[in-house]
Amino acid sequence: MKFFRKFFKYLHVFQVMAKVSLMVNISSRGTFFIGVFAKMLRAILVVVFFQAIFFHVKSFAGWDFNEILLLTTIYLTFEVIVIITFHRNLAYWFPDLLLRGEFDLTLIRPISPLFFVSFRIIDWFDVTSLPPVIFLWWYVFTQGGFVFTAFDFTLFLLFLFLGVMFYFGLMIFLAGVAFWTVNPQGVGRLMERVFMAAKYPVSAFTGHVRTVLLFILPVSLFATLPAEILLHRSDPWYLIFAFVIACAVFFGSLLFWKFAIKHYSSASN
Amino acid sequence: MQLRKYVSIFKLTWQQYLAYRLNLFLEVFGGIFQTLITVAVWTLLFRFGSAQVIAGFSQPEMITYVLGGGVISSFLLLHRQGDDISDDINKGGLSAWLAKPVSPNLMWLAKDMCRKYFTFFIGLFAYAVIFWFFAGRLVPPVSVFAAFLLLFFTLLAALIHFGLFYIFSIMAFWFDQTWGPRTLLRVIMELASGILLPLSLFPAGWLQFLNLLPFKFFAYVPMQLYLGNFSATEIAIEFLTAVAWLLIIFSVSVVLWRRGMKVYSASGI
Repeated sequence: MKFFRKFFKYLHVFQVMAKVSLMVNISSRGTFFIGVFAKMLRAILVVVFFQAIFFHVKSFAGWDFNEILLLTTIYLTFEVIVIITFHRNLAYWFPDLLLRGEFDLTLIRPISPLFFVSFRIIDWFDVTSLPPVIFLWWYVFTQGGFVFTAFDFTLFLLFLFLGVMFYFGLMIFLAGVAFWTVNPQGVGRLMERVFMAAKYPVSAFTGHVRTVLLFILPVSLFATLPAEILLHRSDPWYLIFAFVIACAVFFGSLLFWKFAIKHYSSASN
Repeated sequence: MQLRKYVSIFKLTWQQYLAYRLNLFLEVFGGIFQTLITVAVWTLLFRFGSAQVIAGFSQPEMITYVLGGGVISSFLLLHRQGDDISDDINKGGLSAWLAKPVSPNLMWLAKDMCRKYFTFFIGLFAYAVIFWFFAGRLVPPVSVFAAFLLLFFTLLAALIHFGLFYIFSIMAFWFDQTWGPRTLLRVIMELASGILLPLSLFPAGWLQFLNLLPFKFFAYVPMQLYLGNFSATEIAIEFLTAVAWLLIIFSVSVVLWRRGMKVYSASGI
């Protein structure tokens, strides 16, 4: 009962923050709608990028065009989830809050500081960029020629969630570092570029690159692994690894956040 | 005498960037990571595909193209381009510059060139290591003249790049926010510049359309010149096109600036 009361309280806070973010976003309608168009175009251009490659090759290291389209759809879905919610909050806006000394106010609020700084600003530009992603899902389901069972889809959703959890953990680590460094925004930019590697099927790489993308910077968790689950190509051992690494990074990051908060000596005057 | 003022601004901006060098380095490093992933993708496509040449590029030519494009993008495709111009206008910082014996436009140009030069400098060190690693697999410039053309056209590209973002940034005279149009520009630029993949990979219709845009000067044209893929006539046409784009951008900038100054209210002081 207590858990549900807490859950609904946070859900309500989330709704309020989302509403405020929307009001702020549409206060400059012109730039808002151009920004939305740019985001939609970006999603389309990822598909165009692969289509241009497939004009010259028949397969992408064993992945045909529809399979790549499925991967792209998952990649864009993942991107929408993290960008709308915590990515920019933790990578850019939280360090800014810290620098201005406004984080101290967060600490005295009757709410988890981590929750507040992670979801303070909801990025509606990306929420409204959903149509191309929805269209791609529709295409994949109806024209892709794939057969997904309920089990496949449940497993897919579980590992997509684990991927998000893993990335959330990485971003919490990054945010925690901000307590000691002056301005870690460059790390956020670096993470964005690393994240872009997820649009390629990691299983297609060989040698050191494959090792890095599978185990050291496992971007395969973001799109390749969920896609492989739907295509019945996933390696059970790697599923176990993904589960362990996602949980380890996420729960490890929570401990690190607590440690960082304890050592925070306030920045305001 | 006039030039000395802008050289001083350049030097001061350099000092500012030195203070945040880690951030810029990480941003550039992110770009290098992305370039290396693109190189790995093309290596893979050549290895597993049956074709020895894709869209007129052999494997060494493609690796050279991608790495060369990466160097150029390390100082062109940066985030927050035009933020300072937009902020100066929106927050009233421009008023202070108008009261000083300097041209705000040349001041922004000096700052932008400093940023480009600084990131190029950082990127060059990292790319030198990568070039050394790929030494045997890269194509040298077809002639000394081709190397000169690469540098010359890159300089033109830097000016076109500044001009385009300048136009979208001074829209701040009329709008509260300008990041929407600038995001749109950046999204189009990523694909239409040929940094991710050569424009010749696109179908004929697309190629014709992309050739009409100025973005091809940000990677495609300089790298094609380096590889010696343009005839003397084509070089002359590309040069005249670049100059024409600079004139168009300059004319539009002058008109917008004059109109903008009429509506500038110096708000935010």
